[in-house]
Amino acid sequence: MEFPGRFKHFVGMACFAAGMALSAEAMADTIKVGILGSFSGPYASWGVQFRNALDLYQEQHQSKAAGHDVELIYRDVGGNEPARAKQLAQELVVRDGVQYIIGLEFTPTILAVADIATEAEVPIINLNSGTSSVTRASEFLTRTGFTQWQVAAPAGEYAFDQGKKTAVIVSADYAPGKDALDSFRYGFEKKGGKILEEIKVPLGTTDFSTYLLRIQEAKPDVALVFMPVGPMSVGFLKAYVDRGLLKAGIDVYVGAEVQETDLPALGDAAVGIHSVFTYSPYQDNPENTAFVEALTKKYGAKGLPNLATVAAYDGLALVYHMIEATKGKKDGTAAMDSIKGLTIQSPRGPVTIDAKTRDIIQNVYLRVVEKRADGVLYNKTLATQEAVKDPWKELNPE
Amino acid sequence: MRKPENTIGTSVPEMRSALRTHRFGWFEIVMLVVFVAVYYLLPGYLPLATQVAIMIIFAISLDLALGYGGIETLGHAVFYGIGGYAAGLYALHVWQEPISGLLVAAIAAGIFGIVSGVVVLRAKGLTLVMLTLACATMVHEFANSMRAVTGGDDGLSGYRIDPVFGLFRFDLFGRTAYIYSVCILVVVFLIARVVANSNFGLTARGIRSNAQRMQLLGVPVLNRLVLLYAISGALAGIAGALSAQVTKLVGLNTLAFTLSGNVLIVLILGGIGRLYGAVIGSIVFVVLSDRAAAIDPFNWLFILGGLIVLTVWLAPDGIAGRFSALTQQLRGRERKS
Repeated sequence: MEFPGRFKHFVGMACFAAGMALSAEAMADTIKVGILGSFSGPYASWGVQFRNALDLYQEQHQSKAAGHDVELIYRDVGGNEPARAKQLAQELVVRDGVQYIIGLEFTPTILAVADIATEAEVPIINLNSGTSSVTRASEFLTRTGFTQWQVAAPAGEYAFDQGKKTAVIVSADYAPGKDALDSFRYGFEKKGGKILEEIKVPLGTTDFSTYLLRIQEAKPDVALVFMPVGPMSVGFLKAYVDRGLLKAGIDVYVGAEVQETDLPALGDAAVGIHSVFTYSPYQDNPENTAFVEALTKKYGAKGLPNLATVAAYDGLALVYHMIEATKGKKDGTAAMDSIKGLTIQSPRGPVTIDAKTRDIIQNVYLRVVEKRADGVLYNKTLATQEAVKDPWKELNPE
Repeated sequence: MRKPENTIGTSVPEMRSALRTHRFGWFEIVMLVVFVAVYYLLPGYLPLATQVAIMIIFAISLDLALGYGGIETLGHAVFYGIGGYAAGLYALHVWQEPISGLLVAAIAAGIFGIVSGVVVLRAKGLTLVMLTLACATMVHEFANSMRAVTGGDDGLSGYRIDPVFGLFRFDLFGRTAYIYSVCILVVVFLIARVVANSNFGLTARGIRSNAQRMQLLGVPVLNRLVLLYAISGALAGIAGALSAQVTKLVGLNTLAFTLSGNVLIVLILGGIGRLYGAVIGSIVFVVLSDRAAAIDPFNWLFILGGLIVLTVWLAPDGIAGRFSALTQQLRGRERKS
């Protein structure tokens, strides 16, 4: 088509302006991501790790995904407070208009927000709760932490493979402890081991002598132990070593209790404790080296990560992927579809979101605590079980 | 320090203020206007406002026991939790209708109030404080160990709640939850007023001031206290049930010491023994916590702690106490001029 001369410029300008307007519309969005966690109170150590990882990820990606600005909105749940978690999630969705939510440490808090995920079609990424059934609460829930079964069942298997034929299971007496108990037993008995005794320790126990005595009397080859990380895990393991059980040849297998962030509290007593877990900051792979280097550069020695840090980092990576897949539009279903079966290179090794269950598939490592020449305690990897699916879901199909 | 009230008779202004509580004053009107205004003006804050309403109900229930009966308790969350679990289990196994759920919760908590009250209320002072605390801890541990029924530390979940009256379903924006909670709050407030101003309520106040004297006057002190404790417990149970229905999950935190402590702070902040105190205290405490946490999610506890210290320092009788002291001063000035 030939335009008369003086219109030529005008048409060109109009086209240019329209093009600008279109691209501006595509670019102008700010995608909001709600972060729910414990940033105050006794559980604030979770919040610190989440924040370290999320702020680092934002910095590394200039807070931009698919050309959109990504804004994180932090909200403090302040511990295991389901009512508050739900209120905050509701407000994030309704008032702040977030498209994704990351966070939450506890099973009750994550279950409390599951309804909102379903109703508002907002994908929620659970960073820590290790209860297997959690991801079934909503089609829009996924997980980047771990499940108790995922680490405790392999722990039972590894213990048997190391030549342990009899075991005592010790666990704190609350719901996650029950999960640990069942999964230790499942893994150990599957291989043919024999459980001599199950010892349940009430929450808040500080004097473990009677329980340790029971272990001594049972004379097992190995003790499989689950304690909530904190005063109880430190107290128990210290007492275990002080009483000479480890020296007497009763090996102890744990999970998250000996993460490097908690090792200083245990001190040299930790040397020789076995654990089966999914992450150590001293793990040798390029992603992890870069990750730990960036964190310690940004936050100093306090930046030493643990699984919570990695889970948050991977959680935001999933969100970035979903934003790119949906080009920034709010479409919860498409966003969730885009991560089903997705594999990312996490600092802990390759991680896949199970296409069917939306749960995490990851490597599980058998480690032992050792002391480096420079005095630093760390977990040395002894063996790797690759791409472990949550065993509970296999045993309890929907 | 409480001023001794067992001297001869009651002075005239005190009697007048006692009678005044029977009438509806400006406070109720202002509160109603505020609650309606919040609905229209702050639709994004309805979930928060719902939490405020639930906390008010809980604080009112504590005020009945502590402010009117002088029952010093550090375990009031036990009723809140029992109400919550009762409502949750009822919805899970029996019927999803919400209002009957509240009634069931109130009855369950009330019965627990009678049973535990008979044992606990024989004690006074520190012993009573310890016993109520022990009672709450026992129930907390019981709920933790009965995992098959309560879900233990994972919380009780997986139940549905039907629409209110079969018409208003609980929506994402929290509109239904808000209106529902505020309506229940109004009912609870009216019940608490009636109880507080009835002969029974006056007896309770008498017991608080001087239990021995009431005994000598022929009042069955323990019976009265147990009844008051049960009513207070039932109302707290309603608060817990509301939370259970709105959140659709009951966690062990509903039985925890933190909650018992928080509601006590709320009441001290607002002012003990006047019902309004519970309302003002809850609004101030919950809204301040929420706003402080929104402004600085990482250090807000410092801000909150500072504000509470400041309030207790400037208004030792609570905010409501400060208000009534001010109005009395004004009135005194009017009378002089």
